[in-house]
This record gives sequence, structure tokens and C-alpha cells, in this order.
Amino acid sequence: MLMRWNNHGFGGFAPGFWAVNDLQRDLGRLFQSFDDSRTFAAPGWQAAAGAEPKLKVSDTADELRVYAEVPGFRAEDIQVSFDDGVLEIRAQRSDAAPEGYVAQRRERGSSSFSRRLTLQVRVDGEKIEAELKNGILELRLPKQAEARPRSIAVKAT
Amino acid sequence: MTVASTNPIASENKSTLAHGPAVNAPRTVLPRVDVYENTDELLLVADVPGATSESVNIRLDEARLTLSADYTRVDGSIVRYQRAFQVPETIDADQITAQLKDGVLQVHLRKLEKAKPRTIAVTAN
Repeated sequence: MLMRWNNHGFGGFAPGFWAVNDLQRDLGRLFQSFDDSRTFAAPGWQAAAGAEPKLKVSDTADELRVYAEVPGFRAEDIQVSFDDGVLEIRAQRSDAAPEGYVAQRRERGSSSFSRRLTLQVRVDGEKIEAELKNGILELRLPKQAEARPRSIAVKAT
Repeated sequence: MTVASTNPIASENKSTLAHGPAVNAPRTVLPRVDVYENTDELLLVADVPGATSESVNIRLDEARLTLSADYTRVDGSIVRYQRAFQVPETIDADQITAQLKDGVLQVHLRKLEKAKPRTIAVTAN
């Protein structure tokens, strides 16, 4: 069985990637995924650049931790700054197609982003640490002493 | 630019580490994929932030290519990136290779020799 979508000018050996049940069905596309892409097809799935990256913030009592999904960014592409309670993460990378290749489908996000988080907890800006691993940027923001939880002794009277 | 404010106190109930790691069923996520092509191959580029190379699973079953990779969060929850594609007959099933770097999975699908464009010499007689 030979199935080709070569009626859109992609040439005689156009690869036959196509969707079985992709809601964004478009025969002009060469490459479609099998999955029922409701996630992708929903309005806004292709999140605006400003919404990137996905962040998760957690509080470990002694520090705040921020996890940002930054696939494809190298450490030198990312700048983290902290000023007056505002944490800012900026990053930029090339979004050019790999050399010698022609793009057939592009879903991956923008090549640059900037996000600012206004922290409600006082942290020690001098001791913020940032680490990049497997496309996840992890920030550790130690709280200032007075912002840490303390236990209060209960006195019997 | 997005200016987002977060209230870490409010997030504590949901994501505090104080409760210890929770082992949850994987949450399946469709990774975003770019597809590139040159004369020799198709190149899939998938965003799988946090995924480790040990967790990557690439499977070709008949003409169905399935990519999967897991990201285990610090709280123990698992994000499973998974997506399947129909592979054309022009792909050499024995020559699929992949690399994972910086949370990006690249899968090289080489074309069969007979599928590559070729130049036919014209001889004068």
C-alpha cells in the first residue's frame, strides 16, 4: 500500500506521514500524529510566546523552588535576575531549522521568552542558585530568616 | 512579556515537599514536535523537558512509530511524553537513531536508498 500526499507540491517521494484522527486534519501536511490531539487542537494550545515556559513553584519551608521547562535552551542562553522581590527569567535561542533540512511541521514553541515572578516571600537574593538539567531550569531561593516558619511553644497556664 | 505573580504560600498545599514523594500514575502529555526533511532522512525534534535518556522508548510496530519518554518530577509525579506517528514506507526501519539533549529528543528516520532522489545521467548517442 502506497499512500502519498504529494499533490501539494512536495515532490514525488513525499513522505506519507499523516494523521489517523488528528483534529487538525489538513491533507497538505506531510506529517501527522496518530494521537487524538485535542490538547493541540484546543484554542490556544500553541501557547503564545509570552506564556512560556511552564513553571512550577514549590515551597519547602526554608526555600522556594521554581522549575521551568526550557527544552533546547543551553545554560548560556538563559539569564536569571532578582531585583526587589521580582525574579526574572529570560532566554533566547536560535529557532532556525537544522542546517540542510527543510521544515515540514513546526509545533515547538518560541525561541525566546521572558517571565517575571513577583515573590510574596522575602528571599535572600545573594544566595539564589540556578541549575539546568535535561531541559528543566531549577531555581532555589532561600528564604530570609524571618520568612521561614517557626514553631511556637505552647505554654500551659 | 508576561508578568505573572505567584503566591508561594498558596502553592504550598499543592506542591509542598513536606509530605514526601508521592508516586502517581504517569500523566500523559503530547510533546510538541518539529519535523524536518532533507534528501537522506526525516528528522523529528520533540520537546521532552526533564526526560532522561533511560526513559526514552522508541518503537516501530508495522508502520507506527511511537515515541515515549518520562520526566520524574522532584515530588515523584511522572510526566509521560508520548506520541505516535504513521511512518512512510520510504523509511528504513533498521536505521532509526535518536539523541536526547537539553530536554530535546531528536529522531533520525533515514530514507531507503530507493526512495532518495537521484540524478539520471543523460547520454548522448
